Amino acid sequence: MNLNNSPAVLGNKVELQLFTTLKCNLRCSYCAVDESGALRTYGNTSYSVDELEVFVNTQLPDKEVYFTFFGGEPLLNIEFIKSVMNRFPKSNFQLQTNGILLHNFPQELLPKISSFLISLDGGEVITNTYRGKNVYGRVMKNVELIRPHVKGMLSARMTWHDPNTTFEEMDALLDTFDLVYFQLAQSVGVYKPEHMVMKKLVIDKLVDKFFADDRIYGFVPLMGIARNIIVPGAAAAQCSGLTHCRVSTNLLNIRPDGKIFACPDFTTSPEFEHGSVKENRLSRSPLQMHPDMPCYTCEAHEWCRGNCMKNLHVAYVRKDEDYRRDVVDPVCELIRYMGRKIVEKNPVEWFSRLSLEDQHTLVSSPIYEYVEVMP
Amino acid sequence: MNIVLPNNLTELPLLDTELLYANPAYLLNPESYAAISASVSEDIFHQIRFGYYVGLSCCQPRFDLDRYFYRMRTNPVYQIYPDENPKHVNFDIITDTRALHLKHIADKYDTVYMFWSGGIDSTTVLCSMLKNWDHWSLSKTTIVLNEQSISENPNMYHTLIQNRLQEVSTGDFFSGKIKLNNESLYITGDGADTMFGYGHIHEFDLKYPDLFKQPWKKNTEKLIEHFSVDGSYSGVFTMNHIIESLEKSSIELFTVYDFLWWLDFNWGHDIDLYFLLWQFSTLPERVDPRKFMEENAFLFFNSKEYQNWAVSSIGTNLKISDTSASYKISAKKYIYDFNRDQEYFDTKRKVASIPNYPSRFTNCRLCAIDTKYNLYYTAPSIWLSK
Repeated sequence: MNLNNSPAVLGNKVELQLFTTLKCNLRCSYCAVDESGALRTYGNTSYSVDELEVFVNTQLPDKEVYFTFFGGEPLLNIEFIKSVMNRFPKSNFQLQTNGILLHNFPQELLPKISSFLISLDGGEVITNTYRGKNVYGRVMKNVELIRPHVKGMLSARMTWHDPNTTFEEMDALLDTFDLVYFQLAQSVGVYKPEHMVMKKLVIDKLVDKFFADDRIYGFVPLMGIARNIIVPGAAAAQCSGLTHCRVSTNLLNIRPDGKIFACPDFTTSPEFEHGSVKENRLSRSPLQMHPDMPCYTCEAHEWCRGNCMKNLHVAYVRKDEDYRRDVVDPVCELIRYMGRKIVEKNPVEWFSRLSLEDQHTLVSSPIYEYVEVMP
Repeated sequence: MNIVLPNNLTELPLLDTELLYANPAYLLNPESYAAISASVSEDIFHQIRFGYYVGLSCCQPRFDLDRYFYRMRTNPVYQIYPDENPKHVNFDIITDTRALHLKHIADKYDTVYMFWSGGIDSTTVLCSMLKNWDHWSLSKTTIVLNEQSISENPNMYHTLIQNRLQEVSTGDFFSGKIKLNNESLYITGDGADTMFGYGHIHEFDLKYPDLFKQPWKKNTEKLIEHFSVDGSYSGVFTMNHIIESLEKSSIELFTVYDFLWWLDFNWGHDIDLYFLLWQFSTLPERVDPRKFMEENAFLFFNSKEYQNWAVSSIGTNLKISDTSASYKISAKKYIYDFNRDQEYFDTKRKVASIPNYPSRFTNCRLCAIDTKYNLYYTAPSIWLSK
């Protein structure tokens, strides 16, 4: 693919994922940012909001720009968040946080956040195991505190790491959150054969419940896969038919020093830098589908669209065989499994029974623009 | 129904007929023109000529119902009015929801025809169907198109229609090879023009560039000049007529574009009925025209939600930006979000996609439609189509 002649961003919308800081107040055992070597390498942002505005106006004219505050823990730099929200009052905002400091977030700004992603690992025991003592309780208390002031979506962003995670504890997250986005952990050692069986049993129950009623069951990966199977046109349209995590099309990960990277997990990889706020430059994301990636011949491509590009790149371009075997292959297998289970449920017929509102939610939920869609 | 019948209007035909649509201007055929112009007051005559200027129905404006003189019946399918102070809803959300609503209807039919001209309106519809419909619903849909459609939007045709969807040419469709009936669904992209405004907006832009976003109150002279079609017609009357309607509607307009748009929005909302009936004016005898027009035909943009969108978008850049090039910008963005056709997004201009539509420049004019969907033409005198 010749990237020189293509526009830097595909589509009308572009997400600026701002690493407000790479400091963090937790030490989660599986943190991908930590594993990439980026965590704590940079403090707060060193570019100004003025520079950010100039960058947006010159590099992204006529684009619908929306912001995700990310980190590290983004709430360790609330002043920067406030500055950005004040400077771009017409934009949409997302906050991805571990939730520990949510009680410090200015109440008047809560209604202006379109999407909150609160990191959890499942229920209380597992979350505290991976994230720290009493983290679950503190997060849930903060969620309860902000809930009355939130007008956007409040989602649990759950890293599905532990093989003992149960269907019941995942299901219970919907008592507190509007949606649950779970992501299959990208860690070595968590996909042993017996763990795969346990995860598949949970998937069975999730899929059963998803199709048990004529309404939306708010598990985003299931929604996304079902959507992609039922209305493939929507799947092909999102992200120009490329990966739904947006790294190939319209997601800019801006490190605290202003440098722009294709993927939040590749912010220490110079080959994936493709712009800079300070230098006011931007080119097309270098993280694209590669001929060595097997996705186009995979049965799951119709619904998966090539997630996750970082995983695929490490496994098939860098050719890290251990990573492919221990992480990528099992993740792909689980995604294929999920798709097959969904196809078995006659999703088109189920879709026809949904209310118009739920059909619209399934096809066009704004959450698809904020998370990777695939697990 | 409000009817005001000035005593001196007896020369106008069809005054005793209940109509869904009437354009008094087209009733001014050469035989009656002199008599009518001499017999009515200047104000009434200007109203009649106003319809001639607009080129469409002037009988049922949204907010000026007490000044017209035909026996008009409101059609609930084709005459949809916006709410007062409607809440703004994103164009994409309305369009996606509309497509899903349409899918519910389409699923009850075995055969679905979708008219695709390649223009912005019908391409928006087709994109929304491709995005929101499942394979089964799309598989029974036939795209009605012709060479002009393809040349107007070649990328869309070659990437998303050809070899993917069933297609039939307009020639085959309208020549009778496709039997029109009450058992199929016919989807059109009609209704968008009243949301965004018609061709005269572009004529204005060509004549007075860079004025779209200027306050209309500071540009009344140019607007009057624009409304003055010929020496015999008063642009001042049109200007005042529009201002009166605004006062009655409690809607406030700020820009020149919005002022021009209002003319079409307020007086042109039922033009699609007129276009559609003209297209299907040769319906076979066995087809029930009422059912055909009110159930079998689906005008995609003819909905309360779109009407509300049009009103709630006043003063924004959602309909147009600074020039004609950005006309229908929200629809173009919707298309681009779906098919990523940058060239179409950057270069597509307003085009009258079906050149044989009747217009004020044709000799044979549709001047009225009665409540049984009979069409009345003037060419040069009034005649009934059947």
